[in-house]
Amino acid sequence: MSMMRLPLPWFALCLLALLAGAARADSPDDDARFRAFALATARDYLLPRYASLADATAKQEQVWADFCRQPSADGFAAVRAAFQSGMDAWMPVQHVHVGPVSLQTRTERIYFWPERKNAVTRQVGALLQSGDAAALAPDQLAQASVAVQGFPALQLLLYEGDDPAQPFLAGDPAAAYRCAYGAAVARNLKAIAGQLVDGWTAAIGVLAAVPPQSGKDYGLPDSPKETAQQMFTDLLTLFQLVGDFKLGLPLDESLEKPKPKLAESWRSGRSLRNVGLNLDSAAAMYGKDRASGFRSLLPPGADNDAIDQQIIDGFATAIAAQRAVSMPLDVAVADPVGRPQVETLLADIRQVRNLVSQRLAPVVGLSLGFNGLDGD
Amino acid sequence: MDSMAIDRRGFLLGSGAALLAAACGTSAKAAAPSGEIFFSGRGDGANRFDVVAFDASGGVRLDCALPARCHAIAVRPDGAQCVAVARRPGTFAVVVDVANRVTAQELAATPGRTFAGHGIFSADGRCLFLTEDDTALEEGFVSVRDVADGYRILRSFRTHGVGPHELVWCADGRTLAVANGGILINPDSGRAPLNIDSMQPSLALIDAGDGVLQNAARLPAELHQLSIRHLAGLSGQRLAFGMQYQGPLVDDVPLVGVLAPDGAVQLLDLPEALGSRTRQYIGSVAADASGRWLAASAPRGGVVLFWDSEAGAFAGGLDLADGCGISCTAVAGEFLLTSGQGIVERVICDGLRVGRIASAPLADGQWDNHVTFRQL
Repeated sequence: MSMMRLPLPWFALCLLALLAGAARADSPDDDARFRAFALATARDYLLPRYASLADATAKQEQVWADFCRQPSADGFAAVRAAFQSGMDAWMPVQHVHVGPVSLQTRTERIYFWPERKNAVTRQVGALLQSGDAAALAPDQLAQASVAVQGFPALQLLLYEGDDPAQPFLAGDPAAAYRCAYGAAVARNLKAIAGQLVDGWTAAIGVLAAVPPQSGKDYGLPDSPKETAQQMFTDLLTLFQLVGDFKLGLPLDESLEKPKPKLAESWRSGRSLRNVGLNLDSAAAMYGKDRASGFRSLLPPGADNDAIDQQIIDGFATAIAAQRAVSMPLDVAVADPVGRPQVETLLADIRQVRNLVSQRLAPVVGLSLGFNGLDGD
Repeated sequence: MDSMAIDRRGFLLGSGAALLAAACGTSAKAAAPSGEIFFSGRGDGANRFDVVAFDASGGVRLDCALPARCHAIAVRPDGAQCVAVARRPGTFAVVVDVANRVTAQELAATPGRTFAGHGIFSADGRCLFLTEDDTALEEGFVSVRDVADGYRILRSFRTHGVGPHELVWCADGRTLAVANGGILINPDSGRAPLNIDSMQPSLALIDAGDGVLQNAARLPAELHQLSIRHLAGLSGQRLAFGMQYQGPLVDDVPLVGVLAPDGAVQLLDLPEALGSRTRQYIGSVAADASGRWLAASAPRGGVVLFWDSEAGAFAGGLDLADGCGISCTAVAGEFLLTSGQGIVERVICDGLRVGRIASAPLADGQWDNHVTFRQL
């Protein structure tokens, strides 16, 4: 995918050469600092989580294969459990856009959410109706609409309707196709997760290489600072995903007019669990100690210690608030007891976001949303 | 929509090399133009703001401090002066002597009004047109200034809408197209919108000589919360407009449209995988030198989108975190992109694919919403 490998005409080479020299405006210190950060984040935070996703999706594929060989109520419970484990493994990296996941529309293929135009229900329905066996071949499915490729499609198969097991157990061709489709999606997810592990393994090599190498083939930007910047943007994206989408959408304006069906994963009953996994992952990305994550970028000093402590406390408060919501999210938003609990959680998350974006960003030399947040 | 057709980080391997070679080959002569100058506002992350001009090889031609953050730069056709217009609601517009790299004059808005971020010179360079907001009258205005007489206000005319923003010339050279965002604000309290429920955005075509409204394009009633903000002239006397949606994040609404000379409006579709990524927010639109290609930046989604406007076909998207500024270059099929994270790069569109040519220098600083191109 790198442009550098392509046969370029002379003038383009001149342009590249000209620009390459000037592109390094960052100081060598900055370069080293951000390179160490990006490498550690990739190796200690991202790769283990993608490895868990690869494990979970590999197991999920196996469970689907077993289920389709001999569909049963127990088998159906097993594929549901495998879906839940797969989602548990996806949530910690759902917010990540940097790296191999940004290539080949992988994020959306794994998890097309929030969807529009009811795309998943519509397109999965059309595919099931078609009964087209060729469409389930790995290379075909990988090229199909993102709406039919990932976890949201599996959720629909496994949780839609009063008796979702029945269509799998009917013993007719439609049941066989439905199972084959579920198995094909599981296979697709395993393949993508494998590509992410391979991609990051190679990307880590590139980040560690001396002299520096281009990470473009793995979806990394040119400079370590840009990579760090993207990782920072990803952390802030998580707050936005959780705050604006996962909590804000179902809460909507008032107790009288909530939108519970806009809660993520309401069908599979994991809306709140997802938020918990997101928050745990955000705290981990921030860093487990002053030598890891974004905390490693904080220079020593009492002022920075105070910022660090505020953020640590902020995460703890938000995580506690998530644990304190006493009913499922889609119920809570319409419940006089549950709703204030969700609103507290939302406020706590925004508090951490503000600390990270307003207090942390300037001290560690990263920026965000200069244009996106400008609003014009 | 075939999800694989969009590779966020570049064009697909395989056909990419041939496409790039073909595109470069046809335009090799024009591809290293000496007279390309790009003007943009820039922040340094520490509350210092400048207006900057740079050439195609990254050489800085102008770097002049501003009293506060600006939004867009109007460049006099001869390139001798440019005007940095304050961000909305703005109180200054700074006239800069480009050759001597000094502020020549600071303009104030018409008493009782504030600047709205954009301005444009007449083709002969004699007049400057600036959008202004009159919040007491709840109406937009354009003030017309006499360049030769110290930018004295000659007259002003109504924009026939609320919240005017960008203005561009129509192909006839005498009609100004003005984007009326439709959003009412109180300049004393920033930008908080006051009329989301009743906003009526429009694209007004106004005779620049007598201020008479020639025509106004409005959106269907159900889309009245789409604030029309940014404009670009396309081939065939068409106008592109970029929008920002004030309604829910999950609504499936168009964000870019094209107005044909017969008054027909075409609202452009996005592939489903990109639709929700834009976060309902387009920051800038631009046409390439031929007027065939259309680019729209979505800084909240960190992606820049491209269409072949003559075919009405989506061409692809490129990841660019906080990317907002876009302009044509001297070369047909090319755009220059800037980001709030210090990225400046040229991209090329060809055969319904989009590819990056090279990252440019100027990596320090935060490039503001808009970049203006001049061939000098």
